[in-house]
Amino acid sequence: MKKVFVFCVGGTGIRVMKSITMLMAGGMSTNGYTVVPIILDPHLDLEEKKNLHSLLDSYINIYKNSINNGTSTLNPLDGFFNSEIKLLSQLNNQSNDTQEPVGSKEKFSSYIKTSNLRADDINNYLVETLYSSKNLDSQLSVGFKGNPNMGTVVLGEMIEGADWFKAFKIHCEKDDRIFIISSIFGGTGASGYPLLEKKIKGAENEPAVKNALMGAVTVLPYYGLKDPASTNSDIDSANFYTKTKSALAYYEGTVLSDYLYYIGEKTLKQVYENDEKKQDDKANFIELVAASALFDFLKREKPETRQFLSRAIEKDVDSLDRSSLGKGYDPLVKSVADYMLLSALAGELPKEKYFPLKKNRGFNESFYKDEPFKALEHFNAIYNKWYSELAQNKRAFAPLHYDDLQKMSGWIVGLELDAKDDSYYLLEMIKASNKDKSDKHSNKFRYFLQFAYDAINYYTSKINK
Amino acid sequence: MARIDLNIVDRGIQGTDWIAENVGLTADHLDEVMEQKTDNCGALNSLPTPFARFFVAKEAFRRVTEENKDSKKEAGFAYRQLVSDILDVYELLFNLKYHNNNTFTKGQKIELREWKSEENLKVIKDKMPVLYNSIHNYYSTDIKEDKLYFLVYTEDGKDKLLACSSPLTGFVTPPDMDKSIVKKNNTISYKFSGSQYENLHIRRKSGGEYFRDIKLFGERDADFKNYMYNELFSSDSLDGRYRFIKEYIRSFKDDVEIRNDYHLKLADVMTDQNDPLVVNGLTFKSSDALDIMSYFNRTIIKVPYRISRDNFIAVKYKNDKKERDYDYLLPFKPEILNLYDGQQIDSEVHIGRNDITVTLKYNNKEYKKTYNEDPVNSSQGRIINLRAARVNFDLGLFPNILSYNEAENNYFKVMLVAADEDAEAPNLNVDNISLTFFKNSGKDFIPIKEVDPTENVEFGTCPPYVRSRQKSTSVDGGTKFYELFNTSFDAMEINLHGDTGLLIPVWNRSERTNDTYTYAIDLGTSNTFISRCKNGENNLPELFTVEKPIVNFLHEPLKDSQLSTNRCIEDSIFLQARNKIKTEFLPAIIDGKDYKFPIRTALCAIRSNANKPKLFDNHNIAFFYEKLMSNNDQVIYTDIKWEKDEAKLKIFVRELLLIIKCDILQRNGDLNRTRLVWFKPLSFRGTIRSMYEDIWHKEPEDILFIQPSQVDCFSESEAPYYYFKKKNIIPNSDAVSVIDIGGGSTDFVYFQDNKPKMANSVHFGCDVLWDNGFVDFENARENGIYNKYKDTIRFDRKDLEDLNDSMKLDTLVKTKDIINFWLGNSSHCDIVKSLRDEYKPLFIYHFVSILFYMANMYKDQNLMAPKTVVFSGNGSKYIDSFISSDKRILKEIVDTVFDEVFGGKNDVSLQLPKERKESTCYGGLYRSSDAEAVPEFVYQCDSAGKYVKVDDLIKDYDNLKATLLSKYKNLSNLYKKVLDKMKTAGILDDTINPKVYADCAGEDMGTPFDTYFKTEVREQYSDEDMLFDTVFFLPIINRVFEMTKI
Repeated sequence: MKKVFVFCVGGTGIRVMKSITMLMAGGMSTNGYTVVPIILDPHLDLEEKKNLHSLLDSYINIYKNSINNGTSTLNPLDGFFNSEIKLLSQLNNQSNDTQEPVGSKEKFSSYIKTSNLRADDINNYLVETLYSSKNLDSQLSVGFKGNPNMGTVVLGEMIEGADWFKAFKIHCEKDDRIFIISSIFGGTGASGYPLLEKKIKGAENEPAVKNALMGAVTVLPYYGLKDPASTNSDIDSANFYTKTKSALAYYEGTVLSDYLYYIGEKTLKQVYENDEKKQDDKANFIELVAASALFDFLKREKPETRQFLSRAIEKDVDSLDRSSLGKGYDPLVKSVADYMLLSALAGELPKEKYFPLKKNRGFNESFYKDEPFKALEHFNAIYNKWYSELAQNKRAFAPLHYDDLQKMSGWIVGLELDAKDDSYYLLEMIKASNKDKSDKHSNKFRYFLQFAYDAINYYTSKINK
Repeated sequence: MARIDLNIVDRGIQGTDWIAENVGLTADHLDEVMEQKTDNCGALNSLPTPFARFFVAKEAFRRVTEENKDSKKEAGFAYRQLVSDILDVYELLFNLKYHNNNTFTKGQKIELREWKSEENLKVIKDKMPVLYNSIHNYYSTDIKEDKLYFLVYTEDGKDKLLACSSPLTGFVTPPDMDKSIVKKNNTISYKFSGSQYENLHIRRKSGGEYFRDIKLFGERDADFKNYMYNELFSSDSLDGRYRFIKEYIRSFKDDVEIRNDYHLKLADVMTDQNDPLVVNGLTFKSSDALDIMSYFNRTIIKVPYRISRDNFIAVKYKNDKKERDYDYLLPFKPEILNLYDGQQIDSEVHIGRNDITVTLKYNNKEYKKTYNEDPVNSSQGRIINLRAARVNFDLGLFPNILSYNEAENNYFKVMLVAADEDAEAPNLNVDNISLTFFKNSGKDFIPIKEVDPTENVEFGTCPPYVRSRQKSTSVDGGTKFYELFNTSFDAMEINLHGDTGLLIPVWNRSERTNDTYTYAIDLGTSNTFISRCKNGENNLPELFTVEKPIVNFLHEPLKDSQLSTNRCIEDSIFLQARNKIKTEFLPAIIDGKDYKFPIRTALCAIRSNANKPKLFDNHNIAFFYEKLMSNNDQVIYTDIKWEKDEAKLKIFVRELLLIIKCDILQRNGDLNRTRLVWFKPLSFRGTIRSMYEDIWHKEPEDILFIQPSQVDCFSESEAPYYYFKKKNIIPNSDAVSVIDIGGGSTDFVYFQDNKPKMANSVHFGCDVLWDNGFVDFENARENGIYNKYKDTIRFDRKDLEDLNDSMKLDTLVKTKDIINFWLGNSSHCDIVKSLRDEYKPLFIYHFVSILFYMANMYKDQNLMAPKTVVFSGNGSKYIDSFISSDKRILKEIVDTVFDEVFGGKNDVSLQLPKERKESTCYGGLYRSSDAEAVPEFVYQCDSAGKYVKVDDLIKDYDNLKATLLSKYKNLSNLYKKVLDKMKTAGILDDTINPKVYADCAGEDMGTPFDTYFKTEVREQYSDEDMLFDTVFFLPIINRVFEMTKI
């Protein structure tokens, strides 16, 4: 199986990976690549990071449930959860704890061992020039607070000689791909991206790594933070654009990826709390588009020359629907619409008394109480929240009207679906069940996902037309 | 709504899929990105390289360039302050010479320390491998320089990093120097990120402080702007990495102060390895130009009095006012003297309504600086108004005259007195006011450094000595003394709490002539007298006075023709300094009026005399004695003549000689051809005599540059004879006795046919009348005269009344000093009348005792009775003051004594000349140094002269005592006889009972003789010692003391 190693650097990397997972759940295809996410963030206690790990575990669990055939495995489904996510630890049967090397509350000065210099050593002046007292005094466990000049030192060490990086190099095989997700205007991401590129392209002893097709999405500024004076933060979104300009100028001529995706906004649309420790920023449309870069990348072949990709939306509006997004976003809209329909159906079906598949396919009370369906419900809940955030953020990604199951023809804004309410979908599920006579396996959960997707796709496939 | 790229710039993407292009986003694409201003310096790091700071600085220049082109594109505080700081580095280096010469004080310096990448990256690899792993790759791509330079500022032994060289911007400041805005109480201030810069204060030449004020390029001064624009960033071949800073500087092409023809004199900036500073091809320069404005001080000190233009060069006013009661110190740095080559600084002050403007004229150009008590902008200086601050100071310079012979200008003393009206919480005390001296070396003006004169140095300023500090309970200020040795000086810089002003003394100067002078100095127990005569002229000797002031005070004296010069000077000293100057320094002028010789032989010293005595630093002649009370910190020594403390005596002589030196120079005398005469009492023997000889050789050599051969020493007793003889007041020179009664001793010299035949000295002066006999306590106050009048004596002047009270309260002041004070101010009290009326028998006893002793001595030496008796010495004044002014009466007493001792009928010619004290000095001037020395003789009332050593007296004690008791009996009888005659002559009236005194005189003399022979001879001397004094007066001293109590 071909793999794509997705390096998710910093907070933006985490949030984009979340969107990738959601799009994969909704049926976006990785073109046969198993996604191996590698999360690179020194934040020890970041909630977002824990949530992503949990989400990935949920996805992997559902995916496994969907291909489980007792002692054997089935081919991945078409539609929902059609692509595999595998953790590096699963490849290696080892820990994939990428934060271990900096998993302490050690101060930066101690980390670089400034105390080894005598008081009169002239090199103290170099350290004073490179780093502020606050830099030197800051603990590594809270990230680099927008200071990539620190990040580059710590992440460099974090990568160099780390078990997980060795494992990556071992398991990165011919035709595997590498994708790096980072922001350019922060601390961790801005420093991690060029570092990773250098490390990967410098892997002379691992040609599969060195020569792997490599893509990267560089997330440019898209959100703002509240006045740093109010929280005494060192992150000031007022200079995000300046930092970006400076960084892009610095990168100029040094990019090593085959495909470099740019995504960002010309003005900072949303303003979050300025608290580096929490970073519980709501899901954002830009992250979703950044996530789409991975799927695009996995469809492309090795280019003759380095390619720089960017993307537009049809209309510059604050709340985007299918029309204002533009046609290019239809697959993305469909993925989200489909999964939201799945979620809606999964919510309704356990309450449906006269659903024939209850008997025919065993979608009974016991099925709904069983672990696979419970896992799906759990995932659905996360998905719903994620979409809700997307739909309410700025800019808003809001192509759906999903709150009234009796008026489902308007499920997709600007596109009337033939299914007027949920009964249409249930009926199509029955039809799908009826069509499938093979009885190749006894995986009820797989049937559930398969019939649901067939039913939903029956009505939503018009999105892509 | 049109389609929009999801990007920070619009690249015109077609469709809404991911569109691939061959070109990425470059800096050129980014110009259209709208950036926001940022005020937060902590948020500047943007790049994934350890050298991000260097790129941040580069970005900062790009941002301020955009702002400079379009003010709507605000760069924000963070970038502005960074650019300002980096420009400060350039400006600091540009003005390095100026700062080194003008603003950096001792211990402050700027250094460029070289860092070699090759060797130091190895150190980092060894010591900080984690950092090394990161930086070694980036160094080769980001920095590329073989060397970096760290700009380090050192102050008080502590180093502060100011900047590091950068191939992108020349220099970059450390992130800890970044500032944040602090808003408090409606004011804005800046706070450094790093606490190490909290105390960083380096004043910019153009005003304000480096690294503290935000000053962009356009706001800087013209020299600097032209240097940056025309010199540093004008080249087309400059490395491309300098692009943004160059664009910034070149964006000021329309600045009116930047001109192509601007001429600058530049010099290389050197590193600590003495290499020119070159950073990525950029050669840094420092201004080598003369900067007139830099000679102005940032403050001008306003003193609350007028400065004496006779004594100091002071500012000239364009629009002076008659009523002006203040003045300004010259607001210039001492280096300005070099511009004018020692000539007067051409400056003027215009007094404005709220400010003053100082105009300096140099090379036909005018340079102006305005000062205000509350400056309205950084170009204005501040007026330091001492009156408003309720503080004040004054200074005095002694001597104020220079010899034409520079080598003779070897001693100068400056007294500084400072006071704060709020003594309890003073802002100013003498510790935070200081002086630095400068002299014209011929080439330029150099500071005369403070050095220890004992450390083999040619010349210098002695470390200053704080003599007194203002007390919280006293209005009197504190004092500090500066001494310059082996050098004169041309200017002083006064530093008052960090604010400075220039003081240029106006010296009097002597001229070369052939005139020479001889000075005679009679250093008596109580009084000291100096006389002078011009050599080669046969004129009457002169009382020593000086023609002009010898001290230059800073303040302008009163102009009041009704007052003496001295009063005009002293009364105009500000109140808190007046007593200090009077008591710790010397009179501005010894004019023979307020201050005149003879003076009391008294030294004023600091009470806690732990240090080595030194003139003015802790001791000085108490010219004020009996005029003004010393304060609690001071102690007065009145016994220095007979004390074996060489240091005190030396100081006394030194001050006299320094005053004499002034007099010689004022008279254009040839200093090193001066002659001196000093006098020794006959009783000077042994150690004390050699001590005196040593002082009178060394000090004149040191101060007047004369050899010991130019210094004569005569006997105090014989000297008056030559004066009186010269004045022809000795009618018969067959046999003449001169009796010199001083405070401590009485000397007798017998002349026969104008030749001294014998001399004798006894420790029996007039002070025994005011003393306490042999009471062995320093603070004894048992003298009857003192106790009789101490509570009743009144003065018609309040200050004298107060002084009297103070002396009485001071237990260290002796009765003889208090009574001498009464007598010294007899015109303001009735002490003379009281003593004359109530103690006449006592004085007669003293007088008769002296005459009796002398007559017996002459007789035992087989000398004929003197035909003429001449009295000299201030002590002899009691004779005609308290016994009788009628010479016939006094002659009768002398004749009575001589009749009794010599037998027969004597007819003595008695001489009590007016110049009683002066006669010694005057005589000294007329005595030929070739004159025959007088044979000295010790008389113990035996004709054989067999008692030489103490042991001789002890062995023959019974015979000696028997002889003396016989003499005392004769003396007693003689005294009674004289009293009777005086009663008959009406000299003693009925209020006095002579019998009581006669009885007292007749009392047992044996016991007191035994007692005092033991305490004053046996306990004081060893048996083998020569005894140079007579024992005759031992019981008589006691008898005099007893009589005071009658």
